[in-house]
Amino acid sequence: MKTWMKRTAYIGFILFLTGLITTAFQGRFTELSAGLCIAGLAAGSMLFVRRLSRNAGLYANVMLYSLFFVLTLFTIFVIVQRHPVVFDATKAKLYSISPLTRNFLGRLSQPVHITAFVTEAEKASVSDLLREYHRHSRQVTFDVFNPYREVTRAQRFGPTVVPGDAFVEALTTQSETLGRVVKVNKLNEEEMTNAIVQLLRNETITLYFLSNHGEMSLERNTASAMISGRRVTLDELDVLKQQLERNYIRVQPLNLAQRGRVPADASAIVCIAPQTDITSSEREAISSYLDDGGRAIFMLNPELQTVGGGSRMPLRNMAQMLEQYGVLLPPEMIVRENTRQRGGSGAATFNIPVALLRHPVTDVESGVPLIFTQARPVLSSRNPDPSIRVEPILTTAESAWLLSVDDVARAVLRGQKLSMPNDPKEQGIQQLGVAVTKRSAGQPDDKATRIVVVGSGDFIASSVIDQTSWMMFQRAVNWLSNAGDLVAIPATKIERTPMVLSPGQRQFLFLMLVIVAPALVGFLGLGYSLARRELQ
Amino acid sequence: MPFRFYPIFRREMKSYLTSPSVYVAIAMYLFLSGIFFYGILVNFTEMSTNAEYRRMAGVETENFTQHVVSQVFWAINFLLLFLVPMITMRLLAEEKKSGTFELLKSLPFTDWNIVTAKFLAAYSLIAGMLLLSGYYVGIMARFGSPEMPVVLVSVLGLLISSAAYVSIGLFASALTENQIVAAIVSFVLLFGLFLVGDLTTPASGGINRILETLSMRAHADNFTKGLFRLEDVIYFLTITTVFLFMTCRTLEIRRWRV
Repeated sequence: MKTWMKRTAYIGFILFLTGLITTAFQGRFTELSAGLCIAGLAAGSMLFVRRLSRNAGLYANVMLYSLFFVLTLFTIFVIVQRHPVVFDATKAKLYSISPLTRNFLGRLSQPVHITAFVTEAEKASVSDLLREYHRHSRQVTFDVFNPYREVTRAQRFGPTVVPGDAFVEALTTQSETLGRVVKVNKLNEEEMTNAIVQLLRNETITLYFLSNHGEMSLERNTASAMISGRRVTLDELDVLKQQLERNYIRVQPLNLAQRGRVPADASAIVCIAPQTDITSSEREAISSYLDDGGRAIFMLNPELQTVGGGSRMPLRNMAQMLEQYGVLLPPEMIVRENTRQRGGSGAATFNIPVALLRHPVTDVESGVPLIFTQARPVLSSRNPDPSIRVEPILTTAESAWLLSVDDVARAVLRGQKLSMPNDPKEQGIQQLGVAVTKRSAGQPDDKATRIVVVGSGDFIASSVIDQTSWMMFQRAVNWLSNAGDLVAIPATKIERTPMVLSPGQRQFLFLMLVIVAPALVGFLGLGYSLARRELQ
Repeated sequence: MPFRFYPIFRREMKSYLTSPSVYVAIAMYLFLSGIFFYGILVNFTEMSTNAEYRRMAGVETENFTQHVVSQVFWAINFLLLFLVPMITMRLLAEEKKSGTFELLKSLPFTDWNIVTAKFLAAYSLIAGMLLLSGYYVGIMARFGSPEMPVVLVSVLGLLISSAAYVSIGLFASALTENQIVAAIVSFVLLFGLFLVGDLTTPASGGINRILETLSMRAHADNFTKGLFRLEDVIYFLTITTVFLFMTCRTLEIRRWRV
């Protein structure tokens, strides 16, 4: 080979290397670094020029053979890529989408396109998430851009697109946009899936939360307390409200005494843990709304003044109103034997583990058990109107007793320990919630009155709300608003596994990792090789 | 005979085990990976104890697996890109330079036998070296709370990806008689394939996807995150096979020139 060719080839490799180093410093290929690499490769190929000129036929043969071989492997790779097999080894399943989203995507018939705007650092993780969506439904396509590098694309969605924004668009089957766009609030699975649901759903769900009866506040209270080492505000629903809004559900307070009637745009009314009864006029307004095909959720605590704080009045109007829909609210409280307490049986506890029966409202896939800190029985009327169907949805998970709230109140006021009754005539599995459907003859199912009544309201408060209670609430909203497609995605929870090293441990690790182990292997190895050489 | 390559493999292993430079390389690897590991542990301790540090770093939850296990295995993978060319540069280049390659060719071994033996010898050395750093897992388990499935997937990923790196190094060694040139070529090829995903341009979506698919970094990252995808395994096996195949073809071409 001629010397100049060799030199050119070496210069080529140096250029290529310079291009790569420049890329490493800049974090990405620029025109300059890419140019250097290409020029380097071109110059480096001089090494092969002379060899190619001889035996050209043989080279061509080998080239074809190699091409065939490489293409075969490439085809296998593409097939595997099209039919992916993935195992997410992380405990929190960080890189997988939930079965709920997978089911939803499996049923997706409308093509949608997601455009996400992220920083370079977030690009890989967001692409991974969207790739999972595409993997489970070919109807989902996506692009991930840096809004600062691709300003024109960002401006298509508005003048203030920043990293972290994403937009879901409905497409025709010819991949043309239909003009419907939903902005995703946060680049995670829950937000992304519900943005798609929102895009495909034409109407907005609006929930009106009854107020003025001592119900929990929708806003954050200033009163707070330390629970389990963290500061939480008491008896409020701000976490629930935020979750609902993140799922594109509007939340409004409703003072019926002032407004006189339920607003026409209400998808459902919600009444959580009222401490005083509704007035007769409010009762009429609610009944009128429900009879007209309205929807409602009632989550009612026991009417016990001394448990759980606050002063609670008997909910007579509420009970009478619900009785019209086949639901009975006896003035009782559910207690069960505290089997964990030492010293044998007899002691009672208000904490009630809950069993979820088969119903769309309780179709919750969560590993977290549902526990009510206080509960009242919610019974079905024995002879309801034939147009009314009352389905039990919640019961106690184990045998429990019914005690009159007056008996419980007396015992608590006197500071007596609550004991299980000697004559357990009321012992057994107790009903804690029902779903009511009232449909007149000829009325379509989606226009029927629907009510969910649960014998506890505290489990949804900000201080205790968990995955199961949130998902059950959202399922109830779905059932009431005929939005069965709306999915409650449990948020991915990454476990906190901190590590603290003492100065001594740090020193040990430094010595072990940086000095002892390398030196040991190095010296032993060198000794062995030198000894072997001497022996030889 | 399926194991006809064994005598060459044995000779290669013997040569590795009696070579002082190999032990220096292993000690260097343990030293550098030890520094990385120690730095990552200290950084995570700081992250665990200092809320302000977490806020500045944009970390919501201090998870040992995410912030230690994944990063340690990523660092080891990155170190291999430098180390493998040093181990593989002499495999064929030295034989050719010293003339022993012609002797080897005169023996009843096919090109595949030679390539397989050389590949397996270098790969065994790299795998042994990775096993030597296995005590890192013990340290992780003693001082932190690693998720063992993620550790296993990461180790598997390292073993699979290092096979691809060795085959690239072997190919580079087959191209030239000069060990330094072989190391540089192998380094350039490894880094080229590692960084090719960064060659993405704003305009071309299709080309971007091809480049991202070709990128070794993207595939190796999945393993270190604890994500086992058959696609990544096939990718590295394809790279390994293609480069071994090309090494054989290079040896074949050399025969025509002799």
